[in-house]
Amino acid sequence: MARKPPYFAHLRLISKYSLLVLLGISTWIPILVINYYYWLFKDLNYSVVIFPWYLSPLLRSVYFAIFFVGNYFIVGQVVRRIEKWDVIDLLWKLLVIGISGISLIFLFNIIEEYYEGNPLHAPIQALSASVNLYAVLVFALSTLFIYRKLILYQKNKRKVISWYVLQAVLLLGLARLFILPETEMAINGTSGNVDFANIYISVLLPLFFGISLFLSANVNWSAYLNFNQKLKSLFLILIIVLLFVAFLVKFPFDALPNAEDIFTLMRERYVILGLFFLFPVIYTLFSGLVLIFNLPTSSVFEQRSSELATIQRINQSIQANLDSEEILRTLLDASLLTSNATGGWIEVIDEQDGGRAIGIPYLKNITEEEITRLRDRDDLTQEVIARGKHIHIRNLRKQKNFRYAKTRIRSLLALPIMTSKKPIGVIYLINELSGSFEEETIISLVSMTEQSGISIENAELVAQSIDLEIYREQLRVAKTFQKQILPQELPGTERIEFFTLSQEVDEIGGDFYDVVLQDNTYKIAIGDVSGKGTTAAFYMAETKGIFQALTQLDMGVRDFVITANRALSSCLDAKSFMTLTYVHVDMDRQEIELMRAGHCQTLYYCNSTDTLKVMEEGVPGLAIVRSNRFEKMVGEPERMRFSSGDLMVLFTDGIIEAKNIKREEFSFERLQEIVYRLRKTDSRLIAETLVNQVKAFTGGRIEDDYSILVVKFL
Amino acid sequence: MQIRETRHDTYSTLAPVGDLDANSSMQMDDAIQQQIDSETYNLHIDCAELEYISSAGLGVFISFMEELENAGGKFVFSNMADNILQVFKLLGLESLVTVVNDRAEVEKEYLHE
Repeated sequence: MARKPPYFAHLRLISKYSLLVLLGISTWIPILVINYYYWLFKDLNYSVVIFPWYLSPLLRSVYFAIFFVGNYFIVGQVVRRIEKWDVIDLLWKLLVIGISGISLIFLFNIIEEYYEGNPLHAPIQALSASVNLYAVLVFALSTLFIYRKLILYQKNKRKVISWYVLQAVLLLGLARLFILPETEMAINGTSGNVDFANIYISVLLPLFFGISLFLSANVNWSAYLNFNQKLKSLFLILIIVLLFVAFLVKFPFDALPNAEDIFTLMRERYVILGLFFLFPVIYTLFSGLVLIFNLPTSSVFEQRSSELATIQRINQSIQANLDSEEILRTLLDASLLTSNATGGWIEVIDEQDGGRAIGIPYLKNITEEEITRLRDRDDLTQEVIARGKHIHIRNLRKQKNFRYAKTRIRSLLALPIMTSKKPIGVIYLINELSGSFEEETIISLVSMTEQSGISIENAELVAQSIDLEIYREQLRVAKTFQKQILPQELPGTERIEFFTLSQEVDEIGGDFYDVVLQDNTYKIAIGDVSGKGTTAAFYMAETKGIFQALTQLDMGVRDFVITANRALSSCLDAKSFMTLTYVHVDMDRQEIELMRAGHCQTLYYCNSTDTLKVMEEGVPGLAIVRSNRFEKMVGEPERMRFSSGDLMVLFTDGIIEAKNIKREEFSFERLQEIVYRLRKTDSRLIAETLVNQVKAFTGGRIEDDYSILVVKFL
Repeated sequence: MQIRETRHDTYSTLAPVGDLDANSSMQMDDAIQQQIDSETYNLHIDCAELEYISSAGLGVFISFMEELENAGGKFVFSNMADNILQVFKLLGLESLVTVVNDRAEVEKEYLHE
């Protein structure tokens, strides 16, 4: 769907300007009327013009003042709204205004001549003179404000203040209009020879001239133009000068009839002329001269600025790049472009063995044989890296080591590429002419190589942080995976109830528990792999596999522990071991078999006797004794019968070793007390109360992994 | 943690001060390895100033146990605080290493060799 053009927006814009233009024209109507009376009486050869009451001398001055000042602000506003800052464009606008003005003036001159002797001659003359005045005013003001834009380019306080002074003098000059002939005569009459107009000319004009001169020195905009633009500007300025001449010739003194006969006050002309044209003319001439003098040097500036632009662009592309190889390749290309090197290469230093590589992408207009021939003479790479500073050989023939080298190369520049920690390599630039690298070029090359070093370092840092992020992501996956290793739901029935609670402090922990039902026997395991973090977690996952595999075999508790020890001994590293409590709950025979392998004690509550029993007979932890000796150490499991109302509490050391602020441990004794107190409740309440009590004891949180498994016989 | 090392005629004493946990276990590992490198296999671990030992700390001793025994030496632990002794007992280490009360008994242990 096509978008509707914003008509209303256009209308608003036009109305904004047309309102200003209408306002300007309305200030011009009284001038037209004044001129009409003037020309009417002049045609009738009256020596005195008789104006109606609304054109009394004071009111006439007011009309002129409104006309000048009003248009001053209107033109100022319109020019200020030009948003595009472009010298050529601004000068073009001025030219168009001037040519339109001059055309209008000449058009009315022709019409005026055509009406010679006609009764309509007086009004036509009045119209012509008024249009003439208006055209001159608009052109002068446009020039003033457009030049203001040029002068205040890169403005500073001094410039702005001078501008305000200029403006103030201009308005003061216009106040001259209010010195009516009657007043002037009165002043002259009373005090004899005080010549008011003379004071005006002798004080205001020099001041105005001085400020104009000062402001005219601000032509810095010309420095930013290239040769073509300067030529164009110069051409435009020449035409503008011609326009000034035309306007001056056509200046409508007649249209400024303040005095009954202004020709009696000849010097008045110069005041008005000065106010209108002094500054624009001076500035135009200055600009023109500056442009002419700058023309020959502009090619140098152009070249320099294009070089700077290239360097900046290259710097940006180097900075944005995240691939070290790409950065080096760009660096070589850019260095060749910036300097007048005829060839170059980069030697990349291998971090591991200190060796060097010059890959194809790092070679330009030189062969590896040539490089080797040079290196045989003197190993500059090592020297440059050691110094951390560039080496510049102006003439290889005059250099001791290279004097007899068979090479076309005469000048050579070697710059180190370094990160803050290590050298990356050395970039070489060569030329067949001696002394072909200028100091300025070297400075920009140094800054470019330094920038490349920083960029490479940044690229490496980004790569590292990506690796770290990947690692973190893998840990997150591991954590999810580990959560799945621990059973989510334990297989309870109406005769037995399980409840577990656990916590991992790190991303992943080393605690392990599982319950499997097989042939009406619950096989329960709870354990803890030594150490913390990832290693422990992976061993724990392995344990899960071993446990799952072994429970499938019809194996007694003792055989299970021996086999698990053998399995873990072969897969855990020398410093790791595992504690385990393994239990068979035979539902048919109502019998428990338990073996503790280095793990925490198991607490058993016997309902029939209302007593707690600690099951602590045990063997060393798994993978501690890795020889056959272990088998000899393992006796028979602890056996007992269970009945309804009995409780079994299995846990890991995170619970009883939790410390309070005084570094006291929660202890097995406290655990026993709590279990005894809650012996008649359910497994869930016991587990949750235990954890809450431990947290209350430590003052908030438990800093270790922990697991609790409560079994209640119903 | 800090480890004070003292060499005697027939054995060396390593006295860990503070907590022997996952962070400081490497330090103990290095200390023991150095003793073995200098062919000292009778290692007395003085636990008088050991405040806490984690499973990682225990792992260090466990990992060298067999090596010392094969070379004809052994670990002797002395001056153990109750909580540390408790850990040794729970883990079943008590039956695998020698735990004695004080220095005098340590001397006796190694003299016995």
